[in-house]
Amino acid sequence: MIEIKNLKFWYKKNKTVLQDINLQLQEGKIVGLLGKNGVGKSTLLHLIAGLQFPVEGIVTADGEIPGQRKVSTLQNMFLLSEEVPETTMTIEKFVKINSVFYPKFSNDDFTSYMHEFEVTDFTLRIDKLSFGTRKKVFIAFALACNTKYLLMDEPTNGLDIPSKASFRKILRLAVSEDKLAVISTHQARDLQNILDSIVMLDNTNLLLNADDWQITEKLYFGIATGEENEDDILYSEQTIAGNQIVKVNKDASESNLDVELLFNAAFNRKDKFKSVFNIK
Amino acid sequence: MDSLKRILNLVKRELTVPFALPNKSFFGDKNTYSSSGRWLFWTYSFPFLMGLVDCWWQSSSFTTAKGILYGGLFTVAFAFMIMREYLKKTNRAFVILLPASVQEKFAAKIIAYYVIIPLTMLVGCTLGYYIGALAGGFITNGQANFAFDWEFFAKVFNFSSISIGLMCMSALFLITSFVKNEIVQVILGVAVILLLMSLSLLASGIKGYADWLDFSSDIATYVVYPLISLMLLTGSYIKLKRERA
Repeated sequence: MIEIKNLKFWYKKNKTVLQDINLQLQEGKIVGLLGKNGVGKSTLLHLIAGLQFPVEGIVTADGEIPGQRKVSTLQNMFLLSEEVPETTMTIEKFVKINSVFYPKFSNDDFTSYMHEFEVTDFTLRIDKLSFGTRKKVFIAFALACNTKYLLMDEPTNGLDIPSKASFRKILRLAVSEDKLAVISTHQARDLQNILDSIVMLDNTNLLLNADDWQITEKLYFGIATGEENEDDILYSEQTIAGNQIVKVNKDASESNLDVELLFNAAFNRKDKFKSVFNIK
Repeated sequence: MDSLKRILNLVKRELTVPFALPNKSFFGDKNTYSSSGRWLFWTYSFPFLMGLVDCWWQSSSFTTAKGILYGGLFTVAFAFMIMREYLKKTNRAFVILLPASVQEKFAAKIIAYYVIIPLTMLVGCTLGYYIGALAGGFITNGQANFAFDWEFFAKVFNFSSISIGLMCMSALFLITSFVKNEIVQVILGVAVILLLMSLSLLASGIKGYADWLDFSSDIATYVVYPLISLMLLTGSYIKLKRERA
């Protein structure tokens, strides 16, 4: 389990990035980390991975502090950055050199993920690949490492539409009950069907930390009927099918979570949103 | 995987790490990467050309020592360029999070940059010069001019030069660990090397004038420079341990 207690972080003293963040992330889930640009999503991933150190508070993974960068911690964690390293090595050489550091790395998994992404020639040089293909190589490598914690920063950036579908498929397969994936993304629709939980950041604080079923229990996503109480509507958007709304789910109606609408609802009526989820 | 295996794999990784061509990165194209192999080829080719020019146009004789001297100079420049790669954001993050301890990563860097690269450069550049010199000799006289200038070699490649070389490398290691701006790094790097080289020349230049000067020079070579190297390396290590690993 990843546990974050009273986390405070800044790059410059007069500009706090994260303040008083408390979070527990359990295995067996794919967690979507959402927030506006510059709110600290990547920073939070870096803090979890141990690339940055908290100013106050503590971040632990299975009780160990990632910032100490113990081999045992790092073997269980993989951070896939938004920008992937550009290397002159071939794919097979890169895998050969780097896979030895991850005891659970599976060559079979890597090959199958790469085939899913339709990359079959492993003798290609990584720096000669397009950004999207390079990203596929690193996604496949990250997943094949079979680490307990997988942190991904904007993984679908640069992927074409079929590859996004492939990514969803292999991610769902790769994240088993004993693993946790935390994915920071702006492309909410790319991932919404596979996210088990949503963590939303807003100006240094946590705006939401809930599972998908908890969200749809409290909020309803659907087309307006015209009978809604105005005060219950957190967000509405005109579409061809009608007026799509997010409202407080007072009558326990069933609906499917729409991450993009949820995000807009959270920022459209922040106070109401917070009161629905009992966030101070 | 035990510690030794991890270190060896890290060394392997360090030696295959790509790095930006410094000229291009200065002009803003920081995504232009080159392989270590290509750089080695170009750096070996310089001593080859020097050998060729030496023994062909100037008809001077081949000296192993010159090859080693050129090799040594290129070694420092080459190591500096590779060390700067640590500051490339994405690659740094990837390396930091590789499952190995700070000590293992530091050991791997020392082995790569203080042992393997300098030795490869020295052998490669010497051979480059040797082949160039042979070719030049054949063009000029139909035979190679052999003159193993071991005296010159002894002058160039003594403990003093090793000591000062290590100190330069350690200083570069420290600069690349602390300074983020590439241009400042290069300016500082060149300034520090010039300063240290001047110190070294001063230390050897004052020899022979008085006993106490001889003694001071020896103290500098055998005690002060290695101590400074050790301090610089310790600083780099602490910095790596705190931030980059």
